[in-house]
Amino acid sequence: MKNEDIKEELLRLSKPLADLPKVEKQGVPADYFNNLPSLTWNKITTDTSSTTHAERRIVPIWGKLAGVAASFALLFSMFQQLSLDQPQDDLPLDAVVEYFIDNVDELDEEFLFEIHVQSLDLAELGDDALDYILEEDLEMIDDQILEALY
Amino acid sequence: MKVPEDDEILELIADPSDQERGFKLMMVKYQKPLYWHIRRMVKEHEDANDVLQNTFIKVYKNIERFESKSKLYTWLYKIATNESITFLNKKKRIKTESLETAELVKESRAVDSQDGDLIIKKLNSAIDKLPEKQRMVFSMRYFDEMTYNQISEMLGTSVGGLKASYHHAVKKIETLILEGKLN
Repeated sequence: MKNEDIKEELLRLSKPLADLPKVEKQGVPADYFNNLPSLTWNKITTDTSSTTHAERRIVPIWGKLAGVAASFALLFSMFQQLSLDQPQDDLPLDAVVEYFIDNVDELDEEFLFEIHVQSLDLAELGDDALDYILEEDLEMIDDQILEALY
Repeated sequence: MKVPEDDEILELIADPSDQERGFKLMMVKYQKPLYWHIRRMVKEHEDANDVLQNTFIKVYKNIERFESKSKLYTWLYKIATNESITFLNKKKRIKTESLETAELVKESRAVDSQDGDLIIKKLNSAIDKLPEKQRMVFSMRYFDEMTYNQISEMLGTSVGGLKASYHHAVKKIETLILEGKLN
């Protein structure tokens, strides 16, 4: 049943892909799976501290900066759109951009992203921007928007 | 040989005198699906082997924290997924471009189109070109045939977000395969 649902979904999305045979062509050394449980058990009993350092997850600073930069770029495009609907002297785009550049450290990344997402048509986004959203900031986007998109 | 139920395995693991047997039974039962899940993400066998062993070590260290609210299988997948992501993040810092992908693409071009393997290679190359999270979601749905709810539980991503990722991935793979944009 579950399997059928997945097949039907794929058929709806892409018939060529649904028609492809699902074959994994990667090789595994002979007897790998026969030996793995004993090898792993030996490792467990001899090595008790090898992975403790890996449990900590570090968020690199550049990731945050990239998020802010992307949000800013998206925000910029939002203001470009807004500026088409408003008189030029009402809210000069340069002044808005300058304000955000000067105060970007004080602005909340999620807030920037949210106001952008709420005001943009995601279907208009290019593949790169959509990839960025789907990879990095998915949780900030309302489920209904995503459902509507796909 | 009869495949033991998860409850039986967990009971054995909880008993110090049977712990080794119980843990080995668990590995035998789940090593293949976990291995392929990891291998699709990290690509190389050596890397998949390391990640899988680390996964089992982590499972061993945390088995007491496992609560039967979720299935053992789901919990194991979740740990394997996290270990794979940790591995990929470490690797990303060292290597920005995947040489394996480049090799695969080169290889797929070299094979004559009359070979049925070509389309499989193209599919693999297209999957390799997906961003990390889309690749993971695509593999879990397409190869492992998981429901969105199962994937959501493992990745901590909303079902709507997963659908978006999967649908976007499918469209991208289709475009890459049909329009020959695999370079």
